[in-house]
Formats: sequence, C-alpha cells, structure tokens
Amino acid sequence: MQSTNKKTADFLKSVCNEIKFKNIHNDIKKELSNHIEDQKDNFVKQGINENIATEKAIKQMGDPVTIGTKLNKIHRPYTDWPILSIIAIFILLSGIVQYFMSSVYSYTFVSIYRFFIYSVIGIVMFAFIYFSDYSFLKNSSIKTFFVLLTILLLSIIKFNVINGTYTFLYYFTLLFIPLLASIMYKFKDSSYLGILLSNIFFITLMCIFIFTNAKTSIVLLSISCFLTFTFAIIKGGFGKNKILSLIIAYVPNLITIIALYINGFFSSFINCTFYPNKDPMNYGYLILLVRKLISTSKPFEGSNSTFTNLALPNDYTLTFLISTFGYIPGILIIGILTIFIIRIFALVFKQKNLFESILSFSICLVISEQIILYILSNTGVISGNFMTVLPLISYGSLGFIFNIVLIGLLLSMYRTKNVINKSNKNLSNIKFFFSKHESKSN
Amino acid sequence: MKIDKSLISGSTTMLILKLLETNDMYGYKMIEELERLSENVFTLKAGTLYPLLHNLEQKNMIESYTKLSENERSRKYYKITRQGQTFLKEKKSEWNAYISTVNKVLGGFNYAIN
Repeated sequence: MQSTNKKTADFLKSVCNEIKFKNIHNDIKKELSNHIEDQKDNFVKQGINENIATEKAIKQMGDPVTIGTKLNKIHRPYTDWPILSIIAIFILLSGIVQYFMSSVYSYTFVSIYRFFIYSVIGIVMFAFIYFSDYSFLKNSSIKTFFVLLTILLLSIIKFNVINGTYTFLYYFTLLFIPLLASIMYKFKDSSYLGILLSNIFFITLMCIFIFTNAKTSIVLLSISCFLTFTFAIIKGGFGKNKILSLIIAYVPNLITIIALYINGFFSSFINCTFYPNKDPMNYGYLILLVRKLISTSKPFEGSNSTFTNLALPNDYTLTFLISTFGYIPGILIIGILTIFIIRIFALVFKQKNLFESILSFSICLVISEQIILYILSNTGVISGNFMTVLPLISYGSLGFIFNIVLIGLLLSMYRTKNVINKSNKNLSNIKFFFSKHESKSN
Repeated sequence: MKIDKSLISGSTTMLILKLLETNDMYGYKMIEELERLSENVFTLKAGTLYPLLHNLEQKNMIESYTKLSENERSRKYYKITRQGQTFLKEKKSEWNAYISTVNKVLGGFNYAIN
C-alpha cells in the first residue's frame, strides 16, 4: 500500500506543478500540508484509522490541478518595469557619454571597449542576483561580514595607497552597508543589547575607514547607519522605548563624527567648498572649474568658457554632460535620477517582511546617497575632492558592477515580496517531516 | 440543508472577511468556524478557500503572518486590514440592499442582516 504521507507529498506536488512561480512553492506546500494534517487529526479524533484519515483529508482538499491552476493565476513574480526601463536608459546614456569622452574628447582613461565588457558582466550579474536566492544574507549575515572583512583587510595589506586612500574601500562600503542592515535585523529582538552589538560592527568598519582615510566611505556609512537604525527602530525593532533605542543607536556615530570634525578631518572639504579662492590653483582648482563650467553653460549648448573639458577627471560625468550639451539635458538627467530615487524607495514600503524592508531601505540609501553626493559635487555645490560614483552612469567597472548588483538584489526582493519561506531550508524541513512520518508508517 | 453553490461563491469573500473581523485565523480554522456558525450549511473546500485568501492578501484586504498554533504547529495566520474592513462594510450594505429587494419582490418579510 502506498504510504499516506507519500500521498500528501504527491498531492502537494500536483498542486505546485501548476504554479509557475517557483519561489512560492514552499509557502503553499507548508500551508496546505498543515491543513491536511489538521483535517487528518480531526478524523483520527473521530475514531478513523490514520491511513484512511489522511486519504479522506486529501480528498476533502479538492482537485490538486484545479487548486494549482487557481493559485497560479494569483502568484506571479513582481516586476517593476519603470525601474528596469530607467536602468536601461542609464546604461545607454552611460554608453553615449563614454563614447563622447573617449572619442570626441581625448579622455585617455575612458575606453569604450572596457565599458562594453564591464556593462555586459554587470548585466549578467544583475540577472543572476535578480533570480537567485538571497536568504544567506538573512541566515548568515555575521559570517558574510567576517568573510568580507577578511578580504578587505587582506586587500589593504596587498594594495598601495592611491591619492591618500584605497579606492577599493568605496566598493566594499557599498556591500558593507546592506550587510550591516542584515546584522541589525538579526539583533532586532535583542532589545538594547542588540543595538550595542550592531554598533560593534559599525564601529569596526568606521575605525578601518578612519585609519585608511576613506572619506566617502565614512560619510556613506555614517548617514546610512544613522538612517537604517532609525528605520529599524520605527518599524518596531530593538528596545521597547523608541527614544532610548534611538539615543543608544546614534551615540557612537555622533561621537565619531564630532571627534573627526574637531580633529580637522573635514577641514579640507570645508575649505574647498566654502573658500576655494584661497588656493585656486591647488585644492580650490576643481570646484572653481566646475562652477565656471556650470555657470557658463547655455540651455542646449555647452560652456564656451576658456576652461576646457579636458581638465575634468572622470568622476565629473554630469559636469561633462552639462558643459558639453547644455544645462537642460543636465536638468533632465537630474530629474530622471530623482524619479529613480523615489521609485526605489517606493519598493521599500511595498515589502511585507521586516528583513526585506530593512535590507531594501539600506540599499536605497546607498544608491541615493551616491547619486546625491555626485550631483552636489558635479554642480559645484560641494567640493568633489573625494571619491564619487554615479550609479550605472559614471565610468568605472567596479562602480558599475557593485551598484547594479545592489539594484538586482533590491528588485529580487520586490520580485518575491509575497513569498514568506524564501530559504530552501523550509522545503527540506517539510521533506524531513514527511520522511520521518513515512518511516514511522512503514 | 445544503445550499446551491452559485449562491455561496459570491458571498464567500464577505463571509471570510467577517470571520477575520473577530479573530485572526489560519485556513483550517476558518473552515471549521464557518461550518460551526452556519450550522454545517457552508462547507468550504480548501481548494476554494486558499486561492481566495491569497487573492485577498494580494489586494491588501487581509495580511498574513506566521505563528505557532495551539498544537505547536507553525501556521500562516490571516488578519483583516483596514482596507478589508471598509470593503466588508460596503459588501454588507450591498448584501442587505439585495436581500431586502429580493424579499420585496417575493412579497415576504424584510430580513435585514446586521
């Protein structure tokens, strides 16, 4: 006689065979198998033999193919076409800008061939992340943190300092911020202790960035940590007293920033932004050039300033665009970037689970902080004497790949927003459950 | 007394929302409760219930969470949302209007359900 649990498993399999969206299978199997178990228990209570009870319970469920077909109509992966379209526009725009930079003007460091190679790698990685299971971030965030930290420290030992810092720290920061958000989620139920533990990870990173003089990383980490803590606490994580939780969360961050400020860590940035004329040929040179280029640009015509575009470094893509094609195209791009920021933040509030909300929020922060810093430095509002990357648009393989991977992760979470049991572990639990019962009934 | 299926299907959504208005419940419990309250007139099949629940959840009428039930089994509980409550109110008044009109035509009494 066929095992009764095998029959339940067969029933669930027939239901799921009809459902194309595979990520939801675990959830549905779990819910329906619980239902069958309840119904069976009820029959057993009425004095029916367990095997017959299971069979009856399965029969009561109805036709598996009909259920599967109905559920298939409801469960579809979510695709945010506007965001995907904006990503495509950005990549295309980046290609056009890179082409102009490399051929029309003699930007020797910009190679259109390199752009093609890294954009293809980036798109492939995006697709991979978009369709893959990210639950390891939820289950082993601390382990992942230490693996990444080891790679970071080894890289610091192996590579040399360029322009007073290590450029690769920027890219590590992009990964560490979402990872820190996952760690916060892990400690969210440990009350105030959870905040302290999360802050240990924050302080570790902050110390590394301070000692390696990674200014942008410090800014990105500080703002992101501040806002992610706020978000997690508002969403009900950590201590019961929200105000106290916020204070404990903010203190290490604030102390670090104040200490850095007192020690003049930001003095060159402040001098450069507010008093560039004091040293126009040295640190004030770039910001004065950017301001000159922007202020002399016409609506649809580039700047005819005596300054030339040739002197701009490659993290001034937006300044280049404005000073070459005029400020209306520039405003248009800033407009699209703003829509992009609003649109990605909208995804955060569509998430149902707390982990996905916190992680999505931190990714949106990383992306939008980079965009805002880039716009501010490229329009001459603040000094750009630190590393900046315009996600998906500015030239550079690592900046492109790391950012598109993060966006892939964000969209992957949105794609499966209705799925509760994302890890395959749950499926194996169900399998284990059946095999245990199967061996019993045999 | 068993009732014609076509009469039930349109109102199942309303009945489910009504059940959830009092308590958060998991699927099996809803079927039990519905049978109990309707004195075994409404016997809902799981095959009808779950697609309906999942559909209501996507439309933000209800939301779900996982919790251990009385017998230590991890269950997916459903909870009515504010949007669901508004929808239920509308459905109820529609239903009452419908019933009273049918009764008027039939010439019987006006059984308003509250």
